[in-house]
Amino acid sequence: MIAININKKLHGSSGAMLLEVDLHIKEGDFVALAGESGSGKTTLLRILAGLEEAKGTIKVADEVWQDTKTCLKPQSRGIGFVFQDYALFPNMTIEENLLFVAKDKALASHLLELTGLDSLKNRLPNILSGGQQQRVSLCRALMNRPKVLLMDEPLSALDPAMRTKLQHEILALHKEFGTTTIMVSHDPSEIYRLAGRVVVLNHGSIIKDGTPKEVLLQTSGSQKFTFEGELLDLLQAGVVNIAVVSIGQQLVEVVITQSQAKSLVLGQRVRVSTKAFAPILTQE
Amino acid sequence: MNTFEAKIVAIETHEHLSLVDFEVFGQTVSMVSLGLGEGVKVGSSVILALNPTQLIVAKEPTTILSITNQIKATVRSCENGILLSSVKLLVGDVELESIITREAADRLALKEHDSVTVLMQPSELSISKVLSC
Repeated sequence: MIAININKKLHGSSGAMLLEVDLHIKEGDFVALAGESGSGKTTLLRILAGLEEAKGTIKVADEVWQDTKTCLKPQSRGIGFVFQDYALFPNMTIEENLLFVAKDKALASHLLELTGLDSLKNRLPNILSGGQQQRVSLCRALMNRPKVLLMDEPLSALDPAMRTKLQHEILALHKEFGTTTIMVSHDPSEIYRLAGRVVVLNHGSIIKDGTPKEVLLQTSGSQKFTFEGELLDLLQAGVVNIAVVSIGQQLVEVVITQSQAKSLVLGQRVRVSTKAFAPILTQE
Repeated sequence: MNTFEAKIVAIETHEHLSLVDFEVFGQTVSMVSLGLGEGVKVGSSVILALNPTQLIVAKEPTTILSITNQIKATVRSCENGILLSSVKLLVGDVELESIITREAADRLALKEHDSVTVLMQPSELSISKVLSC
């Protein structure tokens, strides 16, 4: 069990903000931290890692990482940290990058084998693709068999295909090592695939906490197929009207009645929804 | 998903709406749509799609409903779940599926070889593919 109860005053782009988190995480869980930028996700991760100070307590199993008397240094906390920008040592080979953390050749070659990097172990990081470098970074984070693996948007710099591939590898590594993992992510499909629990931060506080489906599925009553968008246009079409709505990067059209059209204002936020029975799913 | 081939025989467009008539199963079926895609013109062959949850089954043709698309079909099978039933139907050699409540299936006492009428709402039919122009 990880018991986190911390607070810290932050000065973000939107003024002062209090990061206040009381969170218990079960051993072996994979937790995603979501929320808008500036909500305190990365700061929370850095506080857990001991890279930033905060008030309060952090306990991992029977060990106190932080309370009023103690504050363990990052290297004493038994964490692995994966950053968005890989942060590999450029002058060390792939294998040396791993062995720098722990002199365990057997574990290094096992990890490199699991991630398909064993043939590249004697190369320098700069010849690797972004996806390969992030794999090395992931392997390196597991070299000291951490109690907690912290990942800050580890896949956000990669293209979608590489992202999916690495998601499967992260899942495989999580199954094999059972490391308690906390990952900052913005990507709903990534969160759904990897995490068993999502914690959403907003302005420094936890506003949602549940399974990915509970937290991420947009619903409106019994309508399970719901998107939020902006009303761009209303077109007259005989006895009905057509609402043109922008959702994400796409435009959709919805037929509505004249009386509903009268109550709408262009530019307003609207919700487009239908029951899960109605949409047609086709393969590309 | 129900899909079947149809030929466009008429298109009427007014403001942003179109009413498209198809020849299918030896009769006319209508679809109402917003803008029409490329290749959708009189004489084109298309694949029409209809979600099984939106295919209605009646024991006999009816004039008391607003649904104009009514097609004779034969029940091939009726698989009952606890709450829902999946009814497989044959129209000529095309198989269609209708998902209805178990209660409705019991009330209609649907069984193999029954003659029934299937009803399709023009607003729920869609063109999934244009085959030829």
